[in-house]
Amino acid sequence: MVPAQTEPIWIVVPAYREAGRLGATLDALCASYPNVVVVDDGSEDRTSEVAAEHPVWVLRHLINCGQGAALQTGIDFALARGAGLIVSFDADGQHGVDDIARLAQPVLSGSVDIALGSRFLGDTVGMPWSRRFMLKAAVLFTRLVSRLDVTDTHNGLRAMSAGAARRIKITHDRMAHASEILDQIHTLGLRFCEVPVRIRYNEEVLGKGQSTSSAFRIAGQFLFQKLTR
Amino acid sequence: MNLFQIASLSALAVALVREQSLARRGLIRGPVVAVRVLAMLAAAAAIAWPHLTQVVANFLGIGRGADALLYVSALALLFLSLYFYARSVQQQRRLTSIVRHLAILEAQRGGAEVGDDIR
Repeated sequence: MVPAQTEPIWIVVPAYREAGRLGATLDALCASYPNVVVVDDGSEDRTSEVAAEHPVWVLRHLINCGQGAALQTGIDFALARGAGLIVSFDADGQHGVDDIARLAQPVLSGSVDIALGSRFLGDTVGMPWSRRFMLKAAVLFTRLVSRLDVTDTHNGLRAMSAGAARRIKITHDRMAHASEILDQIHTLGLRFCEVPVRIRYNEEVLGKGQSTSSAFRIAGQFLFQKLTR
Repeated sequence: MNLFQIASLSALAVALVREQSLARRGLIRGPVVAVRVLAMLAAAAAIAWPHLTQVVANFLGIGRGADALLYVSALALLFLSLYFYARSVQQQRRLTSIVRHLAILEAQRGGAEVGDDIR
């Protein structure tokens, strides 16, 4: 169910090499939400063309900059077009459109500035134990470093008010942006809540996801830039 | 003075002259010049009077002059790695801001309204 839209809801979909999966994701999104912006992060495949077949805004990075950069581009664009609430949504089909309404509700009611999707409060389909272990370690890392009491981290499904979106500045171009957003929620004193969501894993999602070694690299980059900020 | 000392000191002299030229043309800034000139002078002194490294090692309580050189080199390498990583991140951010700006300028509406742009 789409929530009563007192504020225009914009969905930001960063996409890189998602030509094969983006169509289905946009079909589902466009059926319920008129304001969708896809940021093609310099894909070499038909990601932009697939997006352009749908009634969405298509933005294209000339070179691959990273998901964090693509997300910030989409947020800036949505804010410039008058977004009242911004939802980040992965292009690969792992998120469910039904969860958007649940995420938007506490932000639209004004009780929080940001609603974070949590797969560990909700449920997951097909998540291997190695991924579960890695994510739990990431949650522990976030609690220690960012001092934010969350149950999930690096979940791309989140909703934020326009005010919060204006204050959060993503400087980590690549995957460390997810940790950076959580860090800024604490630093800026933003009100947040976690909302149960469902994440669906399949071979393609897992194949493109973060490996254990990249998790260490992300943590290292985040810590280095946090210390040298 | 042996052949190595002559070659190394000549190379350092050329580098110092070049440094002065770059600084005069405003291509490098004061603090950077100072650090690089100091490093070159220290290297020249260590090459011209090798026993100086032993004096420094004794002062620092390290033991051997060669060890002191090794430790200083390792620290310098670490510092340079961090410095260039930070510079690389800075350049990356500048590049990203240009890419993001262009993407927003050239936004297109897909679907039935192909060709409708942001303006």
